[in-house]
Amino acid sequence: MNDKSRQILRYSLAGMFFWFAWQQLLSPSEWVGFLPTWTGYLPIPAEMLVQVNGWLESVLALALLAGVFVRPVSLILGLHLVAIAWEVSGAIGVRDLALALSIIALAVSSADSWTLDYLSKQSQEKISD
Amino acid sequence: MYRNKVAIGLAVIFILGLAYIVYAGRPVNNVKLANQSANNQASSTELVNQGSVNYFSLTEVAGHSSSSDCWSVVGGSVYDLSSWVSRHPGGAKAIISMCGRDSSDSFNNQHGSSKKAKAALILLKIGELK
Repeated sequence: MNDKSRQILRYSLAGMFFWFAWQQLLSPSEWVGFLPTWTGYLPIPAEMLVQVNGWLESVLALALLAGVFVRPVSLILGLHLVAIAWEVSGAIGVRDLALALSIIALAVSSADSWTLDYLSKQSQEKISD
Repeated sequence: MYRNKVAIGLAVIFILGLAYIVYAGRPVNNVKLANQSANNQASSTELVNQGSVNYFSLTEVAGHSSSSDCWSVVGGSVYDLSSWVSRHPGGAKAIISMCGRDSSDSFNNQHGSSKKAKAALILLKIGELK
């Protein structure tokens, strides 16, 4: 995958996660229905669980946007989305699984040239030279 | 490294946000919010608010009888089951049938000795029956 493709993939996936995360933060009651039944036995209110999930996704999306630790962040978001796809199943599950595999594609490639990871690597190489 | 500073900044933002979400969403706030909502309708309902405990009449509870706005009475306490409808392991129908009424018998027949069910229910408490 070339540099431009990775940039497009990273920005679009970060935007997608950010949008869904903010929807969860602003209207948690609309997302409660997507929580798996076992979460009902956690000592945490349903709306709080949705907001915590939304906040985690927001921060990870920001990290992806800034290009900070892109590979581990992509892996976490990808596995998170695989778990959601598995839980939701059906047509939405298939779509989520495809999105999860797209973000895992970022996790298995090197960071593109517009990331802080790349700039950090460049500066380390200059120092070692 | 600039990258590490940004990562640490994001971690701090995450922890602060998490703390705020946990603080603002703690169960005691369910009671406060229900109290505010009920006070807005106080002139048209039979609500009695005594101190920090909300008291609701059965008429008030009966006004919340849909799957999206579901209040129920179990053992003399009033619970907002709206967020539980879609998550009930035994299906939504069982919860919807409890909305807007005293469903102590239904709950006790099904979950009388279940600590898990009682622990899940206590999170949804918004007051006591008047």
